[in-house]
Amino acid sequence: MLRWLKSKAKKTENNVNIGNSENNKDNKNTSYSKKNKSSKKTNNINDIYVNTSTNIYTNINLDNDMPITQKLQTNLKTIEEALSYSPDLVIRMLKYTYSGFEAAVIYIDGLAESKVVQDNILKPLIKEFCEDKFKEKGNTNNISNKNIITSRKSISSIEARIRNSVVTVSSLKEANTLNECISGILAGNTVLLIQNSNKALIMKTPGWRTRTPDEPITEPSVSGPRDGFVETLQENITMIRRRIKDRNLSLIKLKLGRRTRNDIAVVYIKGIANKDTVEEVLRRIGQIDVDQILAAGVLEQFIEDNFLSPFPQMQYTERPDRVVAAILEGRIAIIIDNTPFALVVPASLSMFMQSPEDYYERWIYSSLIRILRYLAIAVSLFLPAVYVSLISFHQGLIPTKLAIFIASAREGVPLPSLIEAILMEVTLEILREAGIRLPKSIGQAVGIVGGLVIGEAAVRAGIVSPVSVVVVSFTAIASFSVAQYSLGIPIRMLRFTMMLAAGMLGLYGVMLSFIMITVHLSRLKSFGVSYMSPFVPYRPGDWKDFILRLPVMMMKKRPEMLKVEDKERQKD
Amino acid sequence: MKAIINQPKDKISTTQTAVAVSSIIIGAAILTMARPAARIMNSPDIWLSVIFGGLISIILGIILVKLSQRFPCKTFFQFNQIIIGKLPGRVLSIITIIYYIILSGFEIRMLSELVHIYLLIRTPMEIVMITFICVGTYLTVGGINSIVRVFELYLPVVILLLFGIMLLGLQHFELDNLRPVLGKGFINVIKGIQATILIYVGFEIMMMLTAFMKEPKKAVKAVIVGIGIPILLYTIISIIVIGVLTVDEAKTLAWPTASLVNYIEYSGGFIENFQIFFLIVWILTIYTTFVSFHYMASLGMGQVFNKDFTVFTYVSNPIIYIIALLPQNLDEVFKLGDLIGYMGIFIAGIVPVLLFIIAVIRKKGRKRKGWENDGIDT
Repeated sequence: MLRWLKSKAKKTENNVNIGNSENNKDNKNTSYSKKNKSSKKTNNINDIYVNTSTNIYTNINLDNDMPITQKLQTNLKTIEEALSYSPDLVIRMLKYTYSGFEAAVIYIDGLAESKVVQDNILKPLIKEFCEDKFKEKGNTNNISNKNIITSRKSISSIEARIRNSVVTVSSLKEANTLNECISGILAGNTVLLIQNSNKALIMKTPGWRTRTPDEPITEPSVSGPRDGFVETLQENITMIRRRIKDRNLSLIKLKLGRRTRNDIAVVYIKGIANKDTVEEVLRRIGQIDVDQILAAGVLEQFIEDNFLSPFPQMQYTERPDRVVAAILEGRIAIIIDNTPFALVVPASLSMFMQSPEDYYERWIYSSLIRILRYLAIAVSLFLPAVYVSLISFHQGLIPTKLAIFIASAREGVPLPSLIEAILMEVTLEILREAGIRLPKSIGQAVGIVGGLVIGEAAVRAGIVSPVSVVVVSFTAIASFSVAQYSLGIPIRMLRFTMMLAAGMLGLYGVMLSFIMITVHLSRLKSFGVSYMSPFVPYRPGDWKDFILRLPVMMMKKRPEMLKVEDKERQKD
Repeated sequence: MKAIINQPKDKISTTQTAVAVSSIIIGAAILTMARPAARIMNSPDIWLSVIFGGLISIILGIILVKLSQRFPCKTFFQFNQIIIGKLPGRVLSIITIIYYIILSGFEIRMLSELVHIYLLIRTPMEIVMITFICVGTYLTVGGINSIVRVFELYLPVVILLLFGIMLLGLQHFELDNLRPVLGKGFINVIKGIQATILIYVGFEIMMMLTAFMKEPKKAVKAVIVGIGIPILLYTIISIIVIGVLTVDEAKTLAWPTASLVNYIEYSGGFIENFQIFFLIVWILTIYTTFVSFHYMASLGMGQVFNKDFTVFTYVSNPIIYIIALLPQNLDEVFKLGDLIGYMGIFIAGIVPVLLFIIAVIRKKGRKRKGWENDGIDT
């Protein structure tokens, strides 16, 4: 008790232990994270840069270095208090009075698999230490029964025996501080504390349910694999491992968030990914010191290069095949626990225009579809603005027949074309937002109501002209063809600024906004890679996969823009 | 950012340098090219003068490059102080900066005139100028790397569209308009050069760009390609303009090339007016030229006064605006253009040659062959 008070008075700062206790362990067979055996360097990266969670602020001020006392009851009491006497904390006592063996198995119901605890922990322990083994030989040698657990040496040998040959859990490790035990319990592991021992055993027993991998909702595919990421980190890593069986696939596990202690994994292939980029990623993640990182999107906002830009600087995807392709090109993936989305870094504009479908189909078709996609983006960005500018300012530039037709169609429409166009676009955005939240049964009705009734009725009433309805709906359809949803968002926003510029300054305004957008894109960088790669700076080697998708046989080298170390993908 | 002033940290590749030089040269000149030459020469041999003018610019450009190569990683504003001393160097730099500012103002004025005629008839020119200056500043403060990337993006578009428009212009092309070739003699062609060399103004940018290059040894190649592309383009444009419009008409038109585009029509086709494509071309080209000169002026001021150049970008904006507003009508604009031409000959032609000679005589700067240190530290 006195010792505990003394340690409470000390101010401790040692954070690195908690998150890195897994990584710091030398390659004994007890470590959790699957790492390359020879990657000692990653240890150092973690030590220097990662600033994992600071003190856990609970009801009582628990010091980080709270050692495990020899008194079992004290330890149990501390753990209980730290976890606020939570009702789902299970403490299972083991006691065998003949030998003095006393232990406790602690876990949180629901997080740890109780069947595993029963079969693989309790059963072997009870069999080994709580059964009367020595009774058969007659009671002549009682010394072996009584008070076995007295000396330090015997305790450590018992600990060793438990660790090495009794408990049948597949993954376990030792701990020296109570904080490690508590973090372990909160992560779903089971902790074994023994009377008179200063060490605890933390065993991995994950028991929560995960969703079965399902077709990704935001990125469905026609001719590719249909599995998408799920919410459990380990499952996602497994999905990647099944596709890349290279021994150089490196994972770095970190914990983020003071209260959420979320696991994240940084995945890349050593020898392909640029080392500086990896270090930059780890550095940026390490600088985050916040309460929670609940989703990948939040992490993205913390570590991106330019938070003022409307364009996404990392790819945000649900498909493992996309992530795997990116990793093999030399990019780095960041996967977060509890989110089915992964972040891929560094990203460039061309990535958002490519879909994994392109690689599963043959090259002529893929090239044409890609050209179509670029055209669709141009249309969805420029069409309303050009329409507004031509009608308001430069009527002379419209071909005569079309001009007469549009003029007659706009007969009697009360609104100037800019207001009309903005009105229609805003209505479309409202419809789109409403459609996300509706259950599927009503969703169909919204489509009909929005499209036919409102559009048709508005035209009939004379509020808008049919030409603008056509323009706006064509724009909407074109905007849905973007390969990646995160690029559709800036296009939608920029369309409005373009329309406003067109309404004020006509085609000159459209040109100026176009220049503005391209200048902004040229200045944007994502982790050192220029956003407009591979178009500018000119790297003709990368153009094989940019607008056209040239045959696979021709793509012999990895993209230059990523400055990879191993350039060859394919031999002749 | 401070490091950028004295020691350019951003590096551009050889291709990017060539692209930058081409983009700067292809500026407002494409619109008015045929007229001044036609006025002086009165013969359809303008295209020959264009080619010769280009060749002379290449020679001058090579001299410029050799001069800059003697001072690695130093721009013109820095090494002229080394060559002719601090005070005269500063005076020369300030003259050059004033020249660039006037040039920027001129480009903006040209743009506003065109926008006024073809696009926004009723909008006051001030709005057009102010918006353009804002968008231009946004790129200028990005530094040389962003600027060159944007140039790389725009140059193919410009070249393709110009070629496309010229090809369409072949419809009304009559070879007879170009004959007789050398009818008035070769002397006439030489006379025309004084007009056509002005369209290549801008290549003196190589004096600054060499400092930013990753491989300064390849600067000669960059300058040759960089001026070569505009030579080709201008030749084709002048041939087709004269071929369609004839020399006499080209003398009278204010904007010969734009009028050429007006001639193009494809009956039965959907697009009747090809002005839209030409519009894209000239807005982009004038934008690139303006940004380059603006950047050079701000960089110069930054290096002369030893501060970060972005401040000077904002400072020079009102000056440029006022200069753009100075000419009262189109005639005065063209007079300003001629004035700039004469200044350009001085600054781009005479000054570098003199500096080169003085540098060789005074043995300043590194010699090319040995790359030995001549007492100059980088």
